[in-house]
Amino acid sequence: MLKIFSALSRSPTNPQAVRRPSVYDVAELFEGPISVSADQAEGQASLDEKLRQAYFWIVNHAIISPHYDIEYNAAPPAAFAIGDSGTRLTLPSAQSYSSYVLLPLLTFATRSKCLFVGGPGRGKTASAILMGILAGYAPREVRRAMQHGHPQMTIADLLGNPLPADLVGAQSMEEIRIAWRPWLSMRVKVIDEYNRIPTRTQSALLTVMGDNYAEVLGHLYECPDAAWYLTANDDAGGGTYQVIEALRDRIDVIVQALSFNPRFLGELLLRIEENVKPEDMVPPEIVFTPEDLDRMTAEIRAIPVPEPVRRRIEFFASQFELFEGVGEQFEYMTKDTARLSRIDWSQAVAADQGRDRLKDLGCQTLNGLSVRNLMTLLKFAKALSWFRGTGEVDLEDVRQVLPFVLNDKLHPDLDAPYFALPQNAAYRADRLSWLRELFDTSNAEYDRLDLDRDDPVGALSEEFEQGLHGLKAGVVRSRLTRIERLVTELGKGRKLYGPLYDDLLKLKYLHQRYTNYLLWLQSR
Amino acid sequence: MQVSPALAQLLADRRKAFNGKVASLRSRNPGFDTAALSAFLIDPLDPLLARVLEARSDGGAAFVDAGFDMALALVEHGWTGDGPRGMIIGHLWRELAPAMAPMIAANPRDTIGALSNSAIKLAGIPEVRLADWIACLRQLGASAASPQELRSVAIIAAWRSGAAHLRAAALAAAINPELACALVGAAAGADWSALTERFAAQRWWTPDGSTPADGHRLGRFIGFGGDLAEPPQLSVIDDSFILSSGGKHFMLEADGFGAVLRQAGADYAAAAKPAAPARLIAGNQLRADDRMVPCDWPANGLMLAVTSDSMAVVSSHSHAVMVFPRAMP
Repeated sequence: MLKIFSALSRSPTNPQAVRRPSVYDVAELFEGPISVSADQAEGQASLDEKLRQAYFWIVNHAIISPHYDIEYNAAPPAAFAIGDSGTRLTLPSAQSYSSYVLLPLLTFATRSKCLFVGGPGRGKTASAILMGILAGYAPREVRRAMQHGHPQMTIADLLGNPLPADLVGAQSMEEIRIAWRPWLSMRVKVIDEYNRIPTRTQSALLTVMGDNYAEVLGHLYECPDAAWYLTANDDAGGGTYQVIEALRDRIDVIVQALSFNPRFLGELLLRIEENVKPEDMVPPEIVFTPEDLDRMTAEIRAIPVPEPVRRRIEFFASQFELFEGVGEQFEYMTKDTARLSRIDWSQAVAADQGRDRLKDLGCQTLNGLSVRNLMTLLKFAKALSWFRGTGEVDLEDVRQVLPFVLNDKLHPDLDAPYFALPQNAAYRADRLSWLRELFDTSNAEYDRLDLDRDDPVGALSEEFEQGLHGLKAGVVRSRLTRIERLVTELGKGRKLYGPLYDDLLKLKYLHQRYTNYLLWLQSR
Repeated sequence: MQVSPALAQLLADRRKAFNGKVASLRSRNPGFDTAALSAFLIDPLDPLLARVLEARSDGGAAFVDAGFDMALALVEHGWTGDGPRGMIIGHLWRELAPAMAPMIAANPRDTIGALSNSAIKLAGIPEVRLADWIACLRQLGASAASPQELRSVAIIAAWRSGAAHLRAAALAAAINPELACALVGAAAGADWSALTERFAAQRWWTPDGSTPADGHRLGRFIGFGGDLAEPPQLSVIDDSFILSSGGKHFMLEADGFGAVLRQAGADYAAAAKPAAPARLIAGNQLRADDRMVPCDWPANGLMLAVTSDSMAVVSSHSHAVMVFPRAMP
């Protein structure tokens, strides 16, 4: 297969098993080796196909040695045990992806925030620049707009300066005009080495990242929706300054720049000899207009998450928040309570008796999942499904994006017995694999409990979702009795685990809603 | 031979990017012919650039950007030079394109790029009379008002040159009616909507009366560059002919302008009704509804199938198929 920097694959990037009609498509007459405008040749191009073309262009031409770490399998993959240690290598049987390219592209498509981490010289900044070019900016424009974190960076450096003449002559703050930095108006924002920005300036950055506006001297600048790319050499968020937690929490996905495979040195040599830079060669066909970005975001939002998949996400998310020993009232038995009270974590853990600390997934983490984490997980699962053209989110989509979304969000308790087991030692450092393993274990437990077929709390919730309108008091009382019976049954002879805790809270919620409704019926 | 100063300047401005493209291509395809690329830039790209600049003084950069990519693609696929393929592209770029310079200046890819792609496609269909297509475009291509209309012109011209599978697309093409009438060979002042109605009603009718009474003969042995590994089996489904040969299946589409074979699915072919044995009359003739059609195949092994407006015959002694109108329009 011949490849040139500006060439895009003419064949579908992700062919689906669709039965084609035998009707001749006249657009085929004008397709061929010469690239013609997509809108002329085949109507409005499918945006998912366009994003896949962007992905494959980056993988084939811009990134020299991609690592296919997002593995999909249509059939059991060929698996090999390597060496005495039996290290497992799998060769996926379906189209698999490089997280280093895919996640930034999904960030681009969903206008989220992506942090590139990894050692110096691994292409983090170059990848971020490519994303800016995909949004239609010239390479020089993206480079100039990139904010480089440094220890002396002020809020004015980041956001803009008041005009000096106005500062002297103005009689009120309203009269002072601000020269806003051009990057604020861009649809792709790149912050290089964000962990070298001083803490005070980080707070100003937080406002732009979190609330999409900038403020200088009481003047506001509303920014457009944008995809954000931040880079850091230290994935712990270290660097010159500690990154404020709120800022880290705003980051949706963290992508690690993996090492360069010297087997691809020839490609590197070519770039040096020919003075070729991929960012100067981006084909116009994969550049997205603002309208494309709007449409893409809307299409991704419309991707459905089937209920069985949603239930497994709920089950997984339920595993982590419960901390029975730190609360007296049921609702406060959470890790949040422990964290806010600043009690000694190890003592609290030692006092938390009764649970199987190896089996309980909640014992592996220091915290639970936030609403923002879950929303991001759903958004990226939808985006991956849309990118793959499957029409709806499947469990594997969730499984593949989950580690990148929850990395640096779900913190492991490295003192937990689970990490002391020799077979789990690698998870102490390899957080992505640990998170994926957590999800797999949660799914195995879900299967063991047969919750797809036997979910009494789900059945009661579904009944409630039908609405209260028109329900007779007798029916309400009967449902209240069923809830109470179920609470009794669930509480019998079982230890309190995360999913059970959330089920009981859901039952309490349903009980309260029915109780209020019954009181209202009786008051009429 | 040197290029013009205008092209030299435009290439110099893009030296880094263009060199990068060529270097990347050569690294993966050491056989990439840079001499052929240079030759293509000198002629036909440079003379066409001159015409583009005459039409639009600021159109050179966009044309060269697109033209260089087109040149790379064409050289990569061996569609330049003095060979038969190169001749076709050469005709397009040297003889047709200059007349369309204003349109090319505005949108190079969707004009000369799209036409080059379609020439390559049509050249792969042996039944299409490519010389007729180019002649038709040379005569009327410049009358198109937009790239979209130019595509319509190309489609109708291809249909008239034997690409029968483009019949429906040609009749539905968005085009100036006068231009469409001229393309199908209708007399001046003809009414395009009346013509399309008649085309729809009579498959074998042509405005200039060019329908061959003996129909068309097509299909060749695979060893001689055709598609058929063995004498084909003939069948009919949905009022269409199907040819099956060596495990491959083809839909036979024919009308007054020509006939083509187009690949069909095995499921579709399996559901078709086989042809019946045919009998020659007077030793060398087949009976159509309104006339006798000469047939030079041996009497044994003939199979005949009929649709509402056409008849097709195959022979166990030939890799070809004959298709002709049941009744002359």
